[in-house]
Order: sequence, then C-alpha cells, then structure tokens
Amino acid sequence: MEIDLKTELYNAAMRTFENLTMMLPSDVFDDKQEAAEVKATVTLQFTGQIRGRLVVSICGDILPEIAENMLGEDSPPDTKVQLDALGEIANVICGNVLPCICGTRAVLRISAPEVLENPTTAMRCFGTPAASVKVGLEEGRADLYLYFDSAATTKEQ
Amino acid sequence: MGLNILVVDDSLVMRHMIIKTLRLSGLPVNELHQASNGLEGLQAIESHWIDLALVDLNMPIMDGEEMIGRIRSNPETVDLPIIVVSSEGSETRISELKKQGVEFVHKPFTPEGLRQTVFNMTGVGDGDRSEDRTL
Repeated sequence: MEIDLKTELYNAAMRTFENLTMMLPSDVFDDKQEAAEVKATVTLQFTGQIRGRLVVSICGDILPEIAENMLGEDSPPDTKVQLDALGEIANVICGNVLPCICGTRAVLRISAPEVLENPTTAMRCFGTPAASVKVGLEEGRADLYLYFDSAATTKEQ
Repeated sequence: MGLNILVVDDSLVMRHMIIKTLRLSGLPVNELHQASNGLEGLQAIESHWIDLALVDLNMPIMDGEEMIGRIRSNPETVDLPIIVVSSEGSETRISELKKQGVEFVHKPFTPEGLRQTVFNMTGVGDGDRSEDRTL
C-alpha cells in the first residue's frame, strides 16, 4: 500500500501541536505567518527497520508561548526550557508518525532531540526530505521535514 | 496517606506536564520525585520509598527499558508498579514491556487516561473524576 508520507506527517503534527501546546494549528497561513523566520530548530534520528531523521523548526516568536502553554504557567520559561519543549514536541510527532510508515510491529529507536544552531547548513547535509509540511500556529508556523537514509517505507502489516 | 511517585523523563517540560496532571487529577499524592534518565531513576528508588514510577522509554544514559529490567531483577523492587509514558508506537516493544507487568500510557495523553491508569495500577483514587483536556 502506498503511504502518503506528507499526510501522515501532517496529521501527526496537527494532533501533537493541538494536544501539547493548546494552540489551534492550521494549514492556512496569513502573510505574517508565511513571512515568519526560523527561530529554533531541533532534530532527532530514528533507527531500526528504517533510518532517518525528523527536523522541526519554529518560525516566528511563538516558542515562548508554546513552552508556557505546555507548562501551564503565566510567563514564558527560559530559552533552555523552551528548546526542551520543542524537543518533546518533535519526539511525540516522531513517535506517532513512524508506526504509520513502518507498521506497529516494527521496532525503531528514537534519539534524544538535538538543537540545530545552523539549520540551513545542517539540512543541506541531510539531503532531500521525503516529506515536508508547514503548520500555522498563532502568529508563526512550524516547518517539519522527514528524511530517510533508506527507501524502505512499507508497512509490515 | 498519599502515593510517593517517581517521574522519569529526559524532558523537564514533560515531567512538569505529568506532575501537573497528577496534582490536578485528585489522586492522593504525597511525595513527587523526578529523574531525567533511568540511572537517576534507580538512584531515586534507592533513596526514597516509591509507590509508583512513571517512566519514559527513550532517554540518554539509561533508557526506560533497562531501568525497568533492573527494577524487575531486584527482589526489593520487583513488584513496584510502573507505568510507561511514551510516544512509542511499536506494539512489539509495548507487548514486551507489558510482559514485565507495566502499564502503558501513550503520549500525548489525557489527564483522565493517566489518572485511570494510575488507579488501575495502584487501586488508589476515586475512579470517577474526569477531565477532557488532552496533554
């Protein structure tokens, strides 16, 4: 069965942002969201039946609010905690999208999230993403890129 | 008397989300301890009386599976109630963990789902509170 990677990644991202950040993600962007610049990027790798990585970038000044919402606090936490929040979002998205790609019997290991200080340079080394999606969030957006080291993307079941 | 609960997750934000959920759930919580990996979690179990451990799987230094294996191989902690809270989606991996007597809560979780699982594991709690927000 052909897997629509973009749809699976988009659905996992929408579910995760909605549930973890208490924000209403959208697939429609206004000019401000479209023009928002990358403010923070994390990546994590997965290994097992397939190998690859997920990259999640937050564009616009929304990461403080995301972290604040996740913690249920009235003021934004420091930058380190904000990046921890982004890493956990990436982890949950990755954990939810991989079974849609490989099937639920496959066993994959997901690495700890890593902050990319120079995402543009780093992502050049990752090659061409197998899927990428953009999700509108408040006055910014999240950009997600899924990369594979191999082409094995079929479900076991 | 409330539960002494250990939360083990490498994400500080997720630990806080779990702890906040536990506090708002109406469960009788006495002490809450935190650890950021399996090794720290084992040290916390050695240092404190723990009634329940909530454990992530993918963590640096020592992952949740190794931590659970060590808990189960220690006669003093072999019966410790453990709930794995993870985004893990592999039924194979979850099934192996359940053979070791752990329950599983999938991220993102609902407060009600977490509270009900804690109730099922410990028998503590009134079992009839509900909150709809998903975490």
